[in-house]
Amino acid sequence: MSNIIYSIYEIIMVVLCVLSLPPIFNSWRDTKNRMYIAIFTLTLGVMSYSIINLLTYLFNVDTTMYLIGGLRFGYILGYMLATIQFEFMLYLRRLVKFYSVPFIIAFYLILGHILVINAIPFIVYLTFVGYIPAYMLLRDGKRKHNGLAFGMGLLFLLWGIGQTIPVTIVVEIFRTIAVFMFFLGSRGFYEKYLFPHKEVEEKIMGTWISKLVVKD
Amino acid sequence: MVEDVFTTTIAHLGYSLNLIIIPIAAILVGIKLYRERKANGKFNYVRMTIFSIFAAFSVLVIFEFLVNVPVEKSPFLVQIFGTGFEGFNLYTFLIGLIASLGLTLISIANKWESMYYASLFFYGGMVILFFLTGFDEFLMPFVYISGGASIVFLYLTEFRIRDNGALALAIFFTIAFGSVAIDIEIVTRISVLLYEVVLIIYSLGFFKPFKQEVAE
Repeated sequence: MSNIIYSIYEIIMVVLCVLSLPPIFNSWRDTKNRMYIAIFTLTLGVMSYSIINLLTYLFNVDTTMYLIGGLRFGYILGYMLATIQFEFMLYLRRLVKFYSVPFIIAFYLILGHILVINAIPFIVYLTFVGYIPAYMLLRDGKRKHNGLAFGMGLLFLLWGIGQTIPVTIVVEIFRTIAVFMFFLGSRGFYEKYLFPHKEVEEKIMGTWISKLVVKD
Repeated sequence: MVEDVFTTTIAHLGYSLNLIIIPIAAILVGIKLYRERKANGKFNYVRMTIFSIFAAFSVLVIFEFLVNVPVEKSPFLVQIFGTGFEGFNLYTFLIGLIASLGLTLISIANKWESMYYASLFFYGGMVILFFLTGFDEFLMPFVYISGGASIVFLYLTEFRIRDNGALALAIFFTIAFGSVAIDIEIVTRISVLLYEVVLIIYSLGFFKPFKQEVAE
């Protein structure tokens, strides 16, 4: 029963990701900014993660089982997403010389899990890859009034918080909310309601004041 | 008997010359690097990598001399340096570092920016994994593969971009790695003398088959 509920969450996440893709693609088509391709890829990564999770729930695959040594199936999925996330951050910061780092770190951490049964490297790495980009994206998104960046910051933050609570249903809820926040960002929700344009703000103020004046 | 005396004499000559020539070559390349930095205000990364290779090689030959000199020495020194290719020790660490720097040089010379430090990061990961888990099975395959790849790509790079440094290092690597691969004592001893000659010619600035230098 619980697997069916988890599967529903995963389906919702896949749908939200699919709905986020067209506006990102349109933005890329209009601006030809390669950053949108990176965001598009990240969204595909999040979607793939949900699809794999969905399949594990449908086929009753235990992601906590050890594959070889101390390596769990769940770790591989986690590193896959962390690599995409980390790569995305390096791309945002234009750190071209460090593009190979996420792959090398994931490779050695997976190798380390095979050799030693210890979850700490996984937790530490995911914390590092999750919270630091979240902070940077939220800060930049707020400063530059960029709803997409802000949405991505919320995605990383809520996703990260969810992962720290080792209860599957809580993790699923946090992830779904995180993807929903990202979906809102891709649809321009934050620009419209959270960061209204200065001119629009003044217009609203002006209208409000003029109405007061007319009333008086 | 006569052959033994000849081989031993060449070996001693090689060790002694190594001790003098390689650090001097490193210093000469370092001085050139410093002068360029002073004149242009920016680093020539190709020369910087070549300097790093020579510096690592200098440390190697100094330790090699100290370990092989027939006087009483600390067991700690012998233990830390090691006696050859048996797992991680100072000797294999430096050989691996030189091989990684060879790949770095190729990436820089070819302007493969995302791969600039990939080999160093990969090697660094291997060293960290060794300290944490004692796993060193990748070391020798890495040294052989990266050494072989360095030689092949250095020749290809040298033909493509016509760089003197790449050609000098290609010849140096070919002789050094070739002698290790062939593993015949007399060949190894003569090879040491040969690469010393190449190093002297290059570091004194007389090795200029191509007129134009590559600047990064």
